[in-house]
Amino acid sequence: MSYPTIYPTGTTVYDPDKAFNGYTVFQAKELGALVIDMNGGEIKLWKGLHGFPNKMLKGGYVIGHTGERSTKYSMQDYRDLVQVDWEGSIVWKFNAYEYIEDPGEEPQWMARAHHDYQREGNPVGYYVPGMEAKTDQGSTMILGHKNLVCPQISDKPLLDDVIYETSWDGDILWEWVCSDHFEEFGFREDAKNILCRDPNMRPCGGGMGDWMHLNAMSLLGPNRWYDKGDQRFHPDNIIADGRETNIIFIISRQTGEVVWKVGPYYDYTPESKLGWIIGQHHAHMIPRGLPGEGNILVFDNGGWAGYGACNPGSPTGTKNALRDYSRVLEFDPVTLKIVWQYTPHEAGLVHPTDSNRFYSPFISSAQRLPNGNTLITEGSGGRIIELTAGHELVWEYISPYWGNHFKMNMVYRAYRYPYDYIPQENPPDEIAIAPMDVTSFRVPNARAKGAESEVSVEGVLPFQSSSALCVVSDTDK
Amino acid sequence: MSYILFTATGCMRCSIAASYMDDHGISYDKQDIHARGKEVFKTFYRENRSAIFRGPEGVEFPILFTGQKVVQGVGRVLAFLQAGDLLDKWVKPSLLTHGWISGLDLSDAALLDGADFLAVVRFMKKKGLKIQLDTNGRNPHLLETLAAENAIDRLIFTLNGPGDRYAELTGLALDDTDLERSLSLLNCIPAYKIILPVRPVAQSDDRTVSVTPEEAARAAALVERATGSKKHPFYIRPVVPSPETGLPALAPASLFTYRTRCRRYMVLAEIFKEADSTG
Repeated sequence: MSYPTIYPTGTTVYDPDKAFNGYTVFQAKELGALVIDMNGGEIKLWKGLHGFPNKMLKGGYVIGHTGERSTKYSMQDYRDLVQVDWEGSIVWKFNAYEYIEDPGEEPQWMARAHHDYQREGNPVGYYVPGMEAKTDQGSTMILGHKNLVCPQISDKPLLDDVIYETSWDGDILWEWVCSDHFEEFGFREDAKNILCRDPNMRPCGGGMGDWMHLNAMSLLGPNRWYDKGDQRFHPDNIIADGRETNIIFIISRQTGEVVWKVGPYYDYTPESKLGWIIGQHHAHMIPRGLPGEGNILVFDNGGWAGYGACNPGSPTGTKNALRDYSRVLEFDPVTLKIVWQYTPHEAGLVHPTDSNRFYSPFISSAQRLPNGNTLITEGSGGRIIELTAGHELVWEYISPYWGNHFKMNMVYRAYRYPYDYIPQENPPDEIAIAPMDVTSFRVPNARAKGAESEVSVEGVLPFQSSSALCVVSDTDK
Repeated sequence: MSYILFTATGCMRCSIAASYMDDHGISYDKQDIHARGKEVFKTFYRENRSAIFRGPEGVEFPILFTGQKVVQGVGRVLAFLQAGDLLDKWVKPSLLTHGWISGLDLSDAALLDGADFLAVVRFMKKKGLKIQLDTNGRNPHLLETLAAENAIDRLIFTLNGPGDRYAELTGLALDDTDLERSLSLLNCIPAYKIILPVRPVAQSDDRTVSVTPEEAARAAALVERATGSKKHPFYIRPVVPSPETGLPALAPASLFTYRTRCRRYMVLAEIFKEADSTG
C-alpha cells in the first residue's frame, strides 16, 4: 500500500472526553525514552536511555537499558536492565546473567535482556488499578537470551530464549530455558524438518538460530479462571509468545511445563476460531481490575512467520504463514472465542483491498486501559492509537523520530500511565484535536480541491454501490 | 597361574590387554568369543554371570579369568596384572567407549607411590586410548606427573567443597595446598570440567545440604585463586538422594542461589544437566 511522502507527525487526533488521559512513554528511535502528554508535548526525555521497551514506575521512574551488545556478536541483547529516576540517576541495575567476552570489547556481565520484563507487584508492566510495581524492592522477571546447541531442534547453534527472575539484590531466583520444552510445543514433522535445517539463522556471531524469538513475557496475575479451579491459570504462571513460531503459551512457574497454548497451527479446532495468528506480539492476559480481565490480548501482526510446508510465498517452508494486514485480538483463553477485535474491518478499511493500511509486520503492542479503551502501537509506522470499545479512534500519535542508522520511525511498544505516575509534573492541559478533513488539507502552495470546470455527460449511469473489483472485497456483499 | 583372556573380534581394548600380557611375559589363553572361544565363553558366562559387569553398550571386554577371579575392562585388567588388587580403589570400570577410557579415579585416598597407577595409565595412553581421569583434588603429585606427560585428555574434577569441608564430605581430609596444587593443573589439561555436587542431608546443626551456597562460593573462589582465572567450566550438580533416605530432592530454584554465588568467582558457573555428563 502506498504511503504518502508528507504527513503530519505528533498527535493528530485527540478526544479528551473519551480518551484515558495520561502520559505515554515510548522509545523514540535512536533518541531515548520519551514521555509525552496527550497533545504530544514532550514532557521528559531520558536521552540515550535504551528501551526494549521502556516502562514507567509510579514516582517518575523509567526502566530501560544502558546499551545493546555489539550486533556483530549477537542480536537484541541488551546488556542490562536499569531503573532510572526522574533526574536521570540509575537507582537499580541488573546485568549479572552471563559473562560476555566479545572480540575487541571489554569483558562484561550482561543481562542479555530483550523484549520484556516485569517488576514484582504488577503482572504486565502497564497501569492496573491497585497493582503498582515495586520501586525500591521486589524481584524482576526478565526475558533474555542464551546461546546453546539443542540437537533435538537443530545441529546449528541457537540463540535461545530464557526467562529468569532476579531478586532486587541481583540473585537469580528462577530460570526457564525455552529449548528444554521443544517437544511440548507440538510442531508437526514438516516444521521440525525446516527448523532443523534453518532455525531462523541470523548472521551475527558466526550464525545462530533465533528459532522461537519470544517477544513478550508477563505473569497472569489473579484471574477468574484460576479462581474457578483451573490450575493452568495460576497467577504465578507466565504467558509468552514466539514470533517465529506463531505460538502463544503459558508455562507453569512450578514445573516449567507448557500448560496452555494456541498455535503453532490454526487449521483445526479450537484454534481455527482465531484465524491464523502470525508473528504476533505482546500476548498477555488482561489483568484483574481492567475491562476484559482474564482474556488474552494480542497484537497479531500478520507479515511472515512460522515453520512448515512450502508454499509459493515460502519456497523453503520458513516463515510460511503470510498475511498483509494486522489484527488486535482479545479472546477467551478457555473457549478461544474472540470477544473483541480491531482489524481492518473495524478500522473502516475495505477488506482486503485496503487492509494493509492497518499493518505492522513486526514489533507492536496492545494495552487495555481502565475505561475500556485500548492503546495500540502499530509499531512499524510509529503510530500509536487509542480506541474505544466501540472502535472509535480517540487519540492518534505518529512518532516524529526517525533513526539515523535505521531509517524508520518505528515504535516497539508504547505504554499509557495516569498523571499521578509522575508527581514531579503538574497534569498538562488537555486540548481536543478534531480529526482533520484530509480531503481539504493542503500543504503550502498546493491548490484546493474542486474542479475549475465541470460538465455533465448525458446517459451515464450512477456509480455502483458495491465494487466488483479485480479481487473480491467485502463491498461485494 | 593360567589366565584366560576373553576378547571380542576387532576389540581394540582387548588387543591392548593382550599386548600388555605379551610385553610382560604373562602366559594366557586367548578366547575370541566370536570365533573359537564362543562355546568356552558361553560356559564361562553361565558360571560367572553375577560377576560380569554390563556397561551401557553391553558386556565390556576384555575379560580376564584367573580361574577364581573375574576382572573386566581393559583398565581393570591392566591394573590387576600390574598390581593385583592394590589399585582397586583407583581403577574402576570404564563407562566410556569409542576410544575413551574412564574409571581412573584419584579421589579415593592418597596413593603415595602411584608408580603402578602411572604405569597402567601410560600403557593405555601409549596404545592410543584417550584418557579421562577423575579426581577430587587428591593425589596432586600423580596429576602433575600425568599432566606433564600430556597423558590426560579429559579431567573431571569433582570439587566437593572448600578444603575445610573435605573431611566431613569425603571421610578424608584434604589439605588446602594439595587441593590448590591439583586445581592449578587445570590450565594445562586440554579438556576438563569442575563439578561441585550438592546433596540434601539429614538436618543437623541447621545444615540441610552438603554444601551451602556460601561454601560453594568459597570453593569457586579457591579455583580462581589456584588458577588465576575466573573462566572454567564449573557445574553445580544436584545429587538426587536415594529413596531410602526419605530426603526430598533439592528444589531446582534453590540451585540458582549457588550459581549466583559461584559466578562471582567462576563466571561460567552453570547448573549441571544430564546432557552435560557426556564429553
